[in-house]
Amino acid sequence: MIRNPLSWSAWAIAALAAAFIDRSPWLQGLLLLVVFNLWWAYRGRRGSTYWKVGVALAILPILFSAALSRFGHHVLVIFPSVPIIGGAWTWEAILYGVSTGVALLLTVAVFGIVSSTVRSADLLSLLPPPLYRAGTAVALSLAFAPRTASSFRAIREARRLRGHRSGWRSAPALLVPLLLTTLEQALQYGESLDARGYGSGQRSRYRPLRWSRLDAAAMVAALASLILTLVFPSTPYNPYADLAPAAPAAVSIIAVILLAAPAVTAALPGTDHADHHA
Amino acid sequence: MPIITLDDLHYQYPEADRPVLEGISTRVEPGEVILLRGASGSGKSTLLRTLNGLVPHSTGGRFSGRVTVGGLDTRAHLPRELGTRIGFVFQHPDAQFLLEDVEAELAFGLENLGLARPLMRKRIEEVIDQVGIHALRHRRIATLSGGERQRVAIAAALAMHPQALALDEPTSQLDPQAAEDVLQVVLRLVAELGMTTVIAEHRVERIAPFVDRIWTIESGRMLDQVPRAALADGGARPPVVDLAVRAGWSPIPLGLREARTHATRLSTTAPGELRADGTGAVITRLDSVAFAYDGRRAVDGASLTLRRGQVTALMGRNGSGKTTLLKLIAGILPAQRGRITRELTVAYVPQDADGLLFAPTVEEELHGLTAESVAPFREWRHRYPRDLSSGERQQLAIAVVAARADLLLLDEPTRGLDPTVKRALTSFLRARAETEASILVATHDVEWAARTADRALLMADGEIYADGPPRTVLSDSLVFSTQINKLLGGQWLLPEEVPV
Amino acid sequence: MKRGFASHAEDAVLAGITVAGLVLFFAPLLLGSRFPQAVLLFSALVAVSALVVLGVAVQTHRLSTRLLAVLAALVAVDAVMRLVIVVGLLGFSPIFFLIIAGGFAMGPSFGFAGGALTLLLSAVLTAGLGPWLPYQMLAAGWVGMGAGYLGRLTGRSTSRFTIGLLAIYGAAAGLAYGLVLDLWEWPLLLNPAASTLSWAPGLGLGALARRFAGFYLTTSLVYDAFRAVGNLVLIAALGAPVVVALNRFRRRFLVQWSVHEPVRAVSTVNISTDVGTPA
Repeated sequence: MIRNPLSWSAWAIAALAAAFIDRSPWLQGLLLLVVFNLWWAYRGRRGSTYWKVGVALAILPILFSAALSRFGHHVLVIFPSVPIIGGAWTWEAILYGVSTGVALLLTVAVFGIVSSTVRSADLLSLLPPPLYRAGTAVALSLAFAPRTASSFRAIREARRLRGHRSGWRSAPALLVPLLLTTLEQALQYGESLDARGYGSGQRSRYRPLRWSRLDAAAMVAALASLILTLVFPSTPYNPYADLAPAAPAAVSIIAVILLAAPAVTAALPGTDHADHHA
Repeated sequence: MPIITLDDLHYQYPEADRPVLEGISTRVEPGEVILLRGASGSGKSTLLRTLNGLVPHSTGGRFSGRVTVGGLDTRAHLPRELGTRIGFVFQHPDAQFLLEDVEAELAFGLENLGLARPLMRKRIEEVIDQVGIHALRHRRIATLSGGERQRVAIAAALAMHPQALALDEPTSQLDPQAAEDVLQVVLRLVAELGMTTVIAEHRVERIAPFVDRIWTIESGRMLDQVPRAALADGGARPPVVDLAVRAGWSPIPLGLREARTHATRLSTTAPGELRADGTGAVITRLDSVAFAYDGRRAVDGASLTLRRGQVTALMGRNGSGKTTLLKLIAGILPAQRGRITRELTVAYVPQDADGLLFAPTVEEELHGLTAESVAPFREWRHRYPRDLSSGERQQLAIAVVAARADLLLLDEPTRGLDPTVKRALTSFLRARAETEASILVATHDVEWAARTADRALLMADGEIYADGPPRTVLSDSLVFSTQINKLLGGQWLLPEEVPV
Repeated sequence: MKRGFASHAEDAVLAGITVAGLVLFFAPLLLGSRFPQAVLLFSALVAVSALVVLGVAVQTHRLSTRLLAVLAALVAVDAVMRLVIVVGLLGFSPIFFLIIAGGFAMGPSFGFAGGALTLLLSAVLTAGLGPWLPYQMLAAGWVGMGAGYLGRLTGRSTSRFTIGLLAIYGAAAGLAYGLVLDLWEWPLLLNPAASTLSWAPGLGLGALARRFAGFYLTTSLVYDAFRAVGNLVLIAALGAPVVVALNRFRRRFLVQWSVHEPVRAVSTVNISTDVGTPA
C-alpha cells in the first residue's frame, strides 16, 4: 500500500499529464483500466460521487464538438437547417468529443483517487512554509463548511416558524445572520489558533513522512511516466484525418503502465493491508 | 514571586465609546485557583484574554497598564510566546479545532513552537495521561462529544507546558455530566500539578469549594476577595450560600460538604407543593412519536401531553433527543411514526437564537409586534441587535419569535447566561404561562428548571422516562438534582423554600 | 486611514499576478504549432496552478490569524450557500455574489484570495475537481480583486449609486469570467481542423480574434449572460445589507490603527496589528 502523500502527489501529476496529453483511444482505454484498477485497490468508504460527476462532464465535449463541427465524411445524422447547430453531425466530430470527454473524466477520477488516499492533515503539514497560511485557510474553510450548513438549516427552520415565507424575498434575512454568525465564530477560531502559537516561524512536523520501499518505487515510476509522457508525447488523435486511431508507440504504452505501480504494490504479498484513511 | 500580575490595567476596544476594563490591579501566586465572576458583557472574557495576549495583540484597541504572565510582559510578547506560560480554553467546544484527529490537534501547538519530534512525542504522551484521554487518542474530532472536545482542548493547551491555565466558561455549552467531567480534569491538574488556574464561570456551585480567591467584575472594575466574603456579598453563588445567608450560618459554607454540618440543624419536614398540578386545557398531544435520522433513532416512542398555563422543563444529556423532540412538536420535522395533535400557533426558539436577528436596529426587529411586547426593549430601540450582550439578544429573539404563540418551545435558552438574566427569563416565562400559553423548555440547568417549571421531563435514548412535578422528578437523582436537594434530601429543591 | 507602504506592495503583487495570468491564458493560443498542442496546454495548466497557488499564498501571508479565519468563514459560507440553494439556470451561480461583496468590503487582496479559495472549496465539496479548476480560481480571484478596487475607489459606501455601480460590475465581471474561461476551453473543445470557429495554430491575430468572437458568441454568450444578469440582480437586491453587515463587522473587529513603538516604558499605548487591508 502506498501511503506517502508525496508519492501520491507525484502519481497524480503524472496521471494528469497522461490523461491530458494522450488522446489516442487505445491509450485512453488503457489509462481507464489502470485508473479503475487503482480505484479498486484503494477504494475507501467514500462513495462514487466522483465517477458520476466525471461521466456527466465527459458528455459535454461530445455534444459541443458534434454540434459545432461540420467537417468529416462519416455522417451520423443531418439536422434541419437551424443556425449553428443545424447541418451534418459527423462521427469524426463525435469521436473527437469523446476523446476530450474521456480526458476530462480521467482527470476527475485522478482527483477522486487521491482524495481517498491522502489525509488532509498530512497534506497540510506537507506544505512548505510559504504555503502554510493558505493551506490553513483551506483547512479552516473545510472545517467550517458542515457547521455552516447546519446553521443555515437551523436559521431557515426558525424563520419559517417566525411566519416568514422562505423564498426569494427572505434571502437577506437568511444570508446576513448566517454570515455574521459564521464570521463571529471565525474570530474565536482565529483566537484559538493564536493562543496555540500559530504564526510565522519555524514549524516542525509531528508525523514524519514515512518512506517505505514501495512508496519510493511508486514515486520513481510516477516520475518516469511523467518524463516519458512529456518528452515523447503520443501522436495526437485526429479523427478528421483518419477515423481509426494509429497504433500507439511503445513508449507511450510504457508510460501509462508505469502509472499502475500503486495498484501493483497493493497486490504484493507481505505489504501492509491495514485500512488506510478514507 | 507571583505568576500573574496586573498593574492598573485599562482597556478599550476599538470603536467602543467606553473602556471595558478600568484600573485593575492584582496578583496571582503560583498554585492559586481564581474564580472570575461577572455579568455577560462585564469584561470577564476580555480580562482573561489580557492574560494570554489576545488582548491587545489580536484585538487592537487602547491598552494601558501592565500585565505580566510568567515573567513576560504581554505587550512585548505575542500570544504565541505567552502560550508557553498560560494555556487558554475557550467556551465553544466546536470552535477550537482545525485538524481531523485528536493526536494531530495535540501536536498542533507544539509544531507551531518548532519543537523536536522526540520532545513532542513525550509531551503528548504525558498530556494524554494527565487528562485521561487515552480512549480518545485516535478518534476523529468530528465524532467527539462536547465534553470530550473540551478535555482535548485542555490537553492541547497543557501540552505547551504552561504554568497557568485560563478557562473562559468551559462548561457553559455542556450538559451537567460533561461539565462535571471537565471540571474534574481541571481540579486534578490543580491538585497534582499545582496548576495556577483562572476560570470564568456562571454556574459556580461545582467549583466554589476549591477556589482560593474570587474576582468579581462589574462595570469594568474588579473586586478581589476571599471566597466567603465574595459569596456573602452577592453575585453568582451556589444555592447553599443563598440558604446560608438566609439562615445566618457562619462561616458561610462554600459547597456541599461544609454545608452539611450546618444543615443538620434544620428541621426536615417535607415541603409543601409550590404549584398545583396543571389543570389547563390540553394543547398538544404526542402518541408514541418516533423519528430517525438516516437510520439513527433520535426519538423513539415518546408520548406526552402539554397543557395551557404550564411551564415544562425537558432534560437529558446531550444526544438524548431533546432537540429532535422539540422540532417534531414544532412541526419542523415530520413524525415518522406515531401522531402529534396540536391546534394552535407554535413558536420555536433554536439553540442558537442569534440566527434570528438580522435587522439593523432593535426597533425594526420588533416591527409588527404589539406595544406590550415592544415595551421592555424601549431603551435599546436604536441599537444594533448584534451589539447587545448574549442575554439581551436571547430576550430579543424570544420576544421576536414568541409574541403571539400559544405554544412556546425553547431549546437551551439558558446557556451562558448570567444569574440575573436567568431570573428575568424565569419571570418572563411564568408571566407568559399566566396568559394561558404553554411552554416547553429544553435545558441542562437543573437549578433554573427547578425554579421555573411546573413539570419536569427526563429523556434518554429518545424516550421520556420520567414525567412529573419537579419535586418528584428532580429529587433523589445523582445527575438531575439541585444542590439543595443533594444537601437536604427529601423533596427540597430551592434555597428560598427551606424554612430557617 | 492612511495608505502606507503595505498597500503599494499589495497592488504591485496583484498587478504581477494579473499580468502573468493573462499571459498564460493567451500564450497557448499564440504559440502556434511549434509544440505539440496537448503538451502546451498541460504546461499552461501547471503554470496557472502554480500562479494561483503563489497568488493565494502571498495574499494570505500578510493576513493576521483573525483575518485568515474570517476569510475561511466567508469562503465556507459562500460554498455552502451554493450547495444549499440549488437554484441554477445555465450560467447563473450564486457563488459570485459573496465573492464580489466580500471583496468590495474587505479589499483587493482579500477579494483575490476569497475568490480563488471559494472556487476551490466549492469544487472540493461538489466533487467537481478537474483541469478547469486553476483557471476558474484565477478568474474568480480577479473578480474578487476587481471588486476590492471598486470598494477602495468608492470608500466602500453603500449608497444606492455605489451599489448600482457594484451591480454593474457584477454583470461585467460575470461576462468577463466566462470570456476568460472560454479562452481556455477554446483550443480544447474543437479540433483545429474541424470548424471555421476553432482555434488553429499559426493563425494571425486578426483571424484568431474573429474566430474566437464567433466561438464565444455561439457557445458562451447566452450561458454567460445568465451569470451576468444573475450577479446584477443578486447584488442589487442583497448587496446593501450584506455590505453594511460586513463593513460593520470589519470596523468593529478588524480595523486596526497604525502600529506604534514598542512598549516598554510608555504607560498609555495605542496598540494595533497591521491587518493588511488598508482603507
